[in-house]
Amino acid sequence: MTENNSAILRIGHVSVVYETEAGLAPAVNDVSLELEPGRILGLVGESGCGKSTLAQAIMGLLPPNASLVEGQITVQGRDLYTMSEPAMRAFRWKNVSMVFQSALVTLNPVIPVGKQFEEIFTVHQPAMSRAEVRRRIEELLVLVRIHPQHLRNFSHELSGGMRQRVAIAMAIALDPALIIMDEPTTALDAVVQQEILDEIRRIQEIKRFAVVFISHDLRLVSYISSEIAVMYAGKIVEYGPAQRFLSEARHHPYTQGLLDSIPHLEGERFTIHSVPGSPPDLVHLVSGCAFHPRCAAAHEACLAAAPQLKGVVDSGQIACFDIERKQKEEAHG
Amino acid sequence: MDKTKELLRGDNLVVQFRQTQGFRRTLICPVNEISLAVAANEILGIVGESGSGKTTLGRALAGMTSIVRGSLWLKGQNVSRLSRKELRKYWSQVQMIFQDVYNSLNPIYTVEQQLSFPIQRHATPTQSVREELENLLQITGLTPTAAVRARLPHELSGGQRQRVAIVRALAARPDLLIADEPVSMLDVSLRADILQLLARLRNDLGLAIVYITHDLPSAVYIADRILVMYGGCLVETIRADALIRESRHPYTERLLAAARFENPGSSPFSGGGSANSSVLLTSYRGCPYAPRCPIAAQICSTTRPSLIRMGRDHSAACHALSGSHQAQSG
Amino acid sequence: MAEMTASPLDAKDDGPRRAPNPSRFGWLRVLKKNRKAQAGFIIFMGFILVAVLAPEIARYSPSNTNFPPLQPPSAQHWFGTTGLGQDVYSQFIWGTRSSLIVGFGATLISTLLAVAIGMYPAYWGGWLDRVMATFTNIFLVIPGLPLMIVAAAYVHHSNTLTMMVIIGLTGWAGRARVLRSQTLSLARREFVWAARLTGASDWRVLVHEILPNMLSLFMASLLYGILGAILAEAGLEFLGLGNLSGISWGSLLYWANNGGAVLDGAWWWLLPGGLGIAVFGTSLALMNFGLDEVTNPRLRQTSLASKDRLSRAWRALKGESPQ
Repeated sequence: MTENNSAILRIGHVSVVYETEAGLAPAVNDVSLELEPGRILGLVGESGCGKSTLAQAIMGLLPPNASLVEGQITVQGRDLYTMSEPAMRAFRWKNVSMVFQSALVTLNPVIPVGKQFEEIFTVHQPAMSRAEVRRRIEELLVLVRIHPQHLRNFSHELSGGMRQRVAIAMAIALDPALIIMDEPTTALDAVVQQEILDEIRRIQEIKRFAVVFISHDLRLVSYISSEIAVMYAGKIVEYGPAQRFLSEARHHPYTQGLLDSIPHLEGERFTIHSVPGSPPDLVHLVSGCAFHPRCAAAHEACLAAAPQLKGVVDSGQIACFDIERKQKEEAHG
Repeated sequence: MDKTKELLRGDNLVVQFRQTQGFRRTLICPVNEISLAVAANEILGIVGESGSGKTTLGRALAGMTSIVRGSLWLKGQNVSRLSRKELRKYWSQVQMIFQDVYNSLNPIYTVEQQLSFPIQRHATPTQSVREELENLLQITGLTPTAAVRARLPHELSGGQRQRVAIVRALAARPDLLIADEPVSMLDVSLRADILQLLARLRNDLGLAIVYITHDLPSAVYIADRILVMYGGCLVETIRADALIRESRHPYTERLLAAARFENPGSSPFSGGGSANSSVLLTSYRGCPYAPRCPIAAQICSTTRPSLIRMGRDHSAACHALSGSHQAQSG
Repeated sequence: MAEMTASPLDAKDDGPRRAPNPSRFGWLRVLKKNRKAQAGFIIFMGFILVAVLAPEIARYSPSNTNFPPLQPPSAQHWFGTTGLGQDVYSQFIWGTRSSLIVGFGATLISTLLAVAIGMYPAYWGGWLDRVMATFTNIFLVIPGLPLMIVAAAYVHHSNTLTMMVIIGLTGWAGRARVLRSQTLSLARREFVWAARLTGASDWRVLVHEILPNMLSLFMASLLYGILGAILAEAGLEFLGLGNLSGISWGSLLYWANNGGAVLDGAWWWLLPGGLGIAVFGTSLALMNFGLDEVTNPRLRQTSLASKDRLSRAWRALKGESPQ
């Protein structure tokens, strides 16, 4: 990734290690990423690939048995990890906020939704008058297409889709420059999921915040994102513009496996396959490329060393020796 | 459908639940006059969102929920109201696997301990339990079997757990397997194998499968015929290979659009997108989809449309298709 | 789809990994792991030994009144003598035996009732559960001690058996409710349905699928049941409503109190009964704490990762492994 001064989020060689009963588990392993303002970065991988840990690291919300052991994360040029605890808390909702898979995590079940909205403003913008806060909240609700009458409701009185809209409205309440969305639509039905995705796109076009969108569904991510990073065993194995993942481009074998596992409505009816083998054991990582035990194209080189992300012809980056070799052959032949 | 091959048939099935909201008690109807038939060796997809009643229908077919009205027939025998003892016999022919793979296995028993009772109960005298277990573990891809046998559920991945649940269901040598969202708790990348396994079981063991899901593409992929449910009602039934081109019901269209990530446009205020629970109330008389339907007319909120035959193996319930409807909005 | 946990290490679908099973016979592992449970168990077994070996270790007959009254502890009478000239040590030993017998017997009765009224209907569901739950709730609001007093006064000459029955009959309701709520939540889990679908009988589902999953709760309920029964027995005896010809911790207290042990400063007469109840109760409570700590992960101590230590370990790991 090229050095860029306008980047809103800069992740430089970040590693996050968990301490478990079985040993050290590097959930994020030397990851570097940059995100421009107003872009949507999709972060894809199976459960346990480190995508959620990376999100927590960006928010400075790692669990107590995990630690950022290497690298630097800056949001709008500021390093969360050098801030004091109160400064970090102030920075968090205002500059970088988060939408979780289940809005039940963010919404308090015994306080009406409207009250919880007001709290955001009383904590972060105490100078605002009550009337102003009211007006602002109603604006936000109209933006996410929730009727303001629902402010009096408790979270359990709203449907899953409405809860998620409320969660999005709360996340954008203070106009943050960056929003982390961790599987925001996974718990929803297909129709609602698609409506929420459209909502995110529409609001994002108005507000121009940047998004890190995390999901295990590559098709969904390629629909909403401008760039996509595919993670495997804590590393980024493929990175590129979203169009790459919708086309017949050359992909990392793992990405290809993800693409082959999803049934399509369009096109020829083809047999779907899961990615063979089982997900990696982070505590006992294999040498070389972490994907080689599951890879049909693996050869000796893959066992000896870990491949680095390298540019491929159509503006993507892939970490795979097999693809490097094929590119070289094509260049010579 | 060929009558001779008919395995399970439900006529006008109704399931009702009492619901308490604050101090009000209401009666909701998650399965509302549904008729369906499953042929031997067929995969029938039931598609709908949460609140559509698809899970309740599945549980009613599996004898887990009692039917208030209507009748259920298995191989020509009336199985609408079974005693506890009769149910046990019914379950040697109809089995079920569940969505929640983390709760569907008893956490304290190893795979072998979970499975030996059902195998023993249904084994033929010529077969040893061990052989049969080995055989079933092989069929479902739970290898290496020796290692898997000694595992406790929390030592298995989600996909493996679902396979163990499938083995448990197969132990009864059923004719019909009801699979309620069998893959929706698994990573997208792991779903394919379970779907493939179900398709293979149908081919190799001659099983009929009712595949219940909210994911239309996977149903189109695996099923022969598809029932689309909304608000407790059947809104369309159609052959899976014809669904993309020939489906007519507005809700099916909406599901297709969602699967393609297309948005046909929505109202300024969202009702939350999912089914309003008031259409499930027994007192509601209109089409359940009317509150969300882009082409809903006056009649839609007052009269429930009945299923109209659109072609071979294709019928849909919509006033717009029967001519009794004057569209008010495009 | 259910919650996906945020950290990859709790992530549910990330392949097989071996870890101690949280529920399987947790209560047996408790003894291996937990200091409190060990201490409680040792004291508990001590009392059991005393009760079993009472005829061997009691030095005199507990009803023998031929000793000089109100003697402080001495070599002949380790715990002194009562105002009637009985050996307190022997009375304490025999009292332990009968107190424990009544305690265990009453707990057995209340456990059977709690299972039959709380667990079984909860699994069965429907009208039976509604009726039994109402019945339990009615019993819960009736204050236990007055009920026992009325019952005990009604039975004129109580013996060990009637004491057990009275205490058992009045002590099941709270435990039935705890067992009921746990059974209700387990009976709704898919594996219970799956077991029924395999053709297992209701009895098998209850005993083989549900009960083992609530063993730790069941054990806790049992321990508190015993404690409650011992206290109830002592209370009734102390009020003179028990088996006055028998000897138990409660009757020891009753006679000491009525015989003016406090006025005479005969602490040795008063103390053993009370201490027996207190120490035995402590042993039950200790075992219960241990059970709680092992089965309830929230009470377990978690180690916080220090960034420096983890960084160093991580660098060391990277240096060793080929990268």
